[in-house]
Amino acid sequence: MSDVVNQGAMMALLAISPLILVCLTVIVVMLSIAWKRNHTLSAILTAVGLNAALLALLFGWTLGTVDVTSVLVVDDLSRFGGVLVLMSTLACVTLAHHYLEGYEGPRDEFYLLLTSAAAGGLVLVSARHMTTLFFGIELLSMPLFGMLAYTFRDRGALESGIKYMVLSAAATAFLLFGMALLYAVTGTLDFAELGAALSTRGSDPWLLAGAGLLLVGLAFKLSIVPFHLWTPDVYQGGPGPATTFLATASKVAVFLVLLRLFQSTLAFHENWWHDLLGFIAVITMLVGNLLALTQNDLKRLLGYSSIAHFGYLLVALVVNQGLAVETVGIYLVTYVLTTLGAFGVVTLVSSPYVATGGTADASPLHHYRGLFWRRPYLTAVMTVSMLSLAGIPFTAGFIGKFYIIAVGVEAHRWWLVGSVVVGSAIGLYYYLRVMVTLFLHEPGMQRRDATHDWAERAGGMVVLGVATLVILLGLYPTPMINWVNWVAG
Amino acid sequence: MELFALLIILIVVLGAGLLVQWLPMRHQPRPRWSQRVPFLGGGTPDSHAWSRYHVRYYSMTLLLIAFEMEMMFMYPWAVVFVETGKKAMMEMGMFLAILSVGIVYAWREGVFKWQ
Repeated sequence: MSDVVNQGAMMALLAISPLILVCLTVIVVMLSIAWKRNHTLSAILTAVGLNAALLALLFGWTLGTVDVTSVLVVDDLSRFGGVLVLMSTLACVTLAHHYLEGYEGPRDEFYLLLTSAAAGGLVLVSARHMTTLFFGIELLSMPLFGMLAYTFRDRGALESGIKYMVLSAAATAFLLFGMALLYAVTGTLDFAELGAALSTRGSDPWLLAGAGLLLVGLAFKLSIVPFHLWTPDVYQGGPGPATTFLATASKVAVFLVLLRLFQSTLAFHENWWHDLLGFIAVITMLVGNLLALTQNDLKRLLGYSSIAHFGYLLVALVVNQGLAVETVGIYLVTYVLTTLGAFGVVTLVSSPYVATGGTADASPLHHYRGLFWRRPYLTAVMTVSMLSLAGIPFTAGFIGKFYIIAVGVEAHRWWLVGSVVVGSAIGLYYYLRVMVTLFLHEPGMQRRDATHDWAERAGGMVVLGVATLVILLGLYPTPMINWVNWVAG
Repeated sequence: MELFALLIILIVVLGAGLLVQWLPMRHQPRPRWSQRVPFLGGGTPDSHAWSRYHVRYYSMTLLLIAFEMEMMFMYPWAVVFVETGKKAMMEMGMFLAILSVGIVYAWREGVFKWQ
């Protein structure tokens, strides 16, 4: 009997070990800072800790579904999310090391914040209860306030940090009020029990109000229209590595928890919920793409493009049957890789950090004018990322978009399919505009360049690797599809 | 009857609101100088009451709040400790160890120096 208990405890420990390792990394790095402040040492320790967490994920790969506690369940989907979160955090660490070398001030604390946020993401992808959902979201967001305002002497960074903090607080208020209403009606906060309650008493107005407020809170984090207004400003002002984390790990974790909510909640199958969500998806795609058209700032443009991409992803949630989970998985993988490539180039061009008092990063598009003639390989990475964001064949982005359209066609949701097509057509214009800018030859313009040794640094190598993966997965997506099928099945 | 109660409440609320509006609008003599100066334990003030002052106690306040919260956790823990014993002791030990690392960090960062 005690053997069985011990075995269960060991399994739970193995399943949760990535989270424990990430938290341990925070403590170790903090102690190392207290012992001796050394920027490179902190970065290496963080990278080692994150890699150990990834290895621990691999060791627990075949465990199946493990109930660590009743509120935290690790299953294949959470391991999938864990891999994406840890990978993007690792990329951010390598990018941050190069970026922060130019920052005069405490640099090491950035890694503490980054790792804490990654721990929040890991909690979020295994959440099965409102308490873990709330805990995960807060642990993910709060370090981000500090990361976005890390170079606080720049007005842009400070503004972006404060803006994100205030709007996150508003989103949290919505989230908590929604949870309170759900609890008041059903007396439970467990996802599965809430789903059961919603399916039997789905028309109770208080229950619907609660579910709606909950969705509003999560939509803030995912910058879904009409809760998207913070996105371009925060993306533009925040320091490169922080924005990269916000655009990849943070959004992936929140979207996966949203997917889990949808899976366990049958009431979302009701018709008018579908129509409402479908409407939001269409609006999100169109608004994101149309507003991106007029941007002259690369980071703002990427912000609007991320709004549009989460509009595409919503299609899979609206359909919520058949290939929906596979689609979400594949789209998230391609989105994360592509976004890491695009933001990686932006961060490399902005590295090392130079204090300007305004917006420190190379975000205006004219900084990138003629980048091809100065940094050809970096331009190649950016071109591949833009093609992938636009969904051109032979890049990973195409596979993701193909799945989205396939899912829409399968469910006969022609309005959604039509908007995806229209949105992609509009998107092609501004993605191509960025690419054209890269190849223009215009001497004498104000510009920023990556340092000459960018490719020998960890950040540069990560960005090159990501671009290679984008092309490889576009040409031969079978391993990715198999993996995601296994996760969903 | 309920409507009557509502009416009473409305009248009270409106009256209170108007009273608050009216009180500062009365013409009244300005308070004397001795009433207006910032209170400095009897000495004559050498600066304006709205002068800016350093918040050097700020980081210590943050630390205090962090460790006060830790004490708050210990009350419910005491109840759990009676039931589970050694396991609860170990868990609290881990929690305190992590917090102590925080103290070490803060110490090295010079939070306890009064600058």
